[in-house]
Amino acid sequence: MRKVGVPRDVNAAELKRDLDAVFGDFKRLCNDPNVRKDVDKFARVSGYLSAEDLETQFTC
Amino acid sequence: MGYSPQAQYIIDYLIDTLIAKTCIIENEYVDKDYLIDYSGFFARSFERIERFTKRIHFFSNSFSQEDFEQSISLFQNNIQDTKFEHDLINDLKKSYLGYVVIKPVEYSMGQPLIGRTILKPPSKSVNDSFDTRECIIRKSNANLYGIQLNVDALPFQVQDSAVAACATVSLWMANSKINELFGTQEFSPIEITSRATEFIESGRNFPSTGLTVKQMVNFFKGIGLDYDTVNIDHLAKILNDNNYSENKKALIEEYLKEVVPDAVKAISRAGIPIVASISLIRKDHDLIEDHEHHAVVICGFRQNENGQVTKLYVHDDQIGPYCRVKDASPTGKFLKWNNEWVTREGYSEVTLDKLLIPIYPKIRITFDIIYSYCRQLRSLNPGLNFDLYLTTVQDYKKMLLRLPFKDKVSKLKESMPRFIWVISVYKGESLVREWLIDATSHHMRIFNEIDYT
Repeated sequence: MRKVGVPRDVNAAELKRDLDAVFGDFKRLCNDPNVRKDVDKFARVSGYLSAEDLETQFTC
Repeated sequence: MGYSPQAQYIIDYLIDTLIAKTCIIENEYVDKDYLIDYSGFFARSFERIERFTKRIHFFSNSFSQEDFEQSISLFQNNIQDTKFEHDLINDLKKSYLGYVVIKPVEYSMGQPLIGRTILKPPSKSVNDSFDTRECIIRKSNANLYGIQLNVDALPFQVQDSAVAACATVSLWMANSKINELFGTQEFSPIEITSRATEFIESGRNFPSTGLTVKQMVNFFKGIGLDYDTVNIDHLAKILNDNNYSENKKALIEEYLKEVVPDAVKAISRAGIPIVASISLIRKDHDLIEDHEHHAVVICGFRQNENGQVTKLYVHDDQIGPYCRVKDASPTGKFLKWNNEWVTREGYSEVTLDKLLIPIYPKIRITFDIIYSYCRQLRSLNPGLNFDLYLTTVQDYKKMLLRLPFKDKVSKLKESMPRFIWVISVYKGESLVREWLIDATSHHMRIFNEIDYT
């Protein structure tokens, strides 16, 4: 079972500082239009259904 | 139940996993799904086919038919006796494992077809292990001679090739949960096939020869839903295409490593069953002899104490409910499957081609979009673990209520969107933060942070 809270062997203040920094980076990533452009481009590839894909018939 | 492979699988599952001891057979049961299929197809056949089905209820307690009948009889005479009610009815209710409907239609080998089957999933905890199982369930009940019996499980049934093939049955199994989640209508297999094939298509609608991917997504759209796709097959083809750069290929290779377990965990948490398109390949001396497309429903997974998915559970109408799938892929996790198709049916390879995810249209941030951001967080912060899941405001607040975190009261009081993507941040095995993204927004809007430190 996974636990909740600061692990025993970790300095709480240091962890908080690190997490705040990661959160800041995450917010910047989310607001960066260039990142979003790349993300959308990849999603169009991974979620793309070609005409051939659409005609795949499940015969089992 | 007969001797069809699915019946044998269900019997083994009942004995080995659910430890069933007793069953009660209702010899004349009116099953709504079968009745609709009957009126739409069999009623106009010359052959005499029964309208009634048989329903078998299973219990983990041991009791004889005589004891059971005597108990019911006594119960009628002692209706005011609450202690008696407690002893008799509660014991039955507690030990209820679910039911199997047997249709009067014969399988090609002369065996009866398995209809609506609602059996308890394997338990959450795993004996002698820290592993846990997560299965998608819906609330179901059965009324046996006036006794209300409850079972939480995802319904299963075997295809009746007159009105449905594997794709229709997969949609039926998925829809049985989706209608609870998103309020869509319930449909019988014949209704699903009719809706999915209402546009002009090549081939006959009935007897069903099997739906196409297009017909499956038509069905989702037709019931007011949308869908997300993870097209593994397409990405795998790019890896072998010389027109693509090495950079692009490396990106795809990295993506394929974890996308299946990550998608299953993220989507199953919201209770959404994923329809998986798989290829069954039979080879003779490395040459493909047979290649068939099959649709199944991913209804759960098993994870170890680090949260890594070690097994998938699928409802496969050709095998049975909660079939265990082991990873057989040397490259990305669960891109190739090892299950009964290989061990029992003798296929050389089972590959996962696509994941079709039925989605409520208000969930506008797709899995692929949010997953890309999650993967970037992982690559930038190797000292932390990031998990992704979709949830609803009700479920999320229910979970929050049970956990300790900063500003608990004010966070619980805040209004939140109906659908939420959650990125959980772990330090080692400990959950330390959660970042909440509005799934109903058209852009990546982080609207809250939960601090568990």
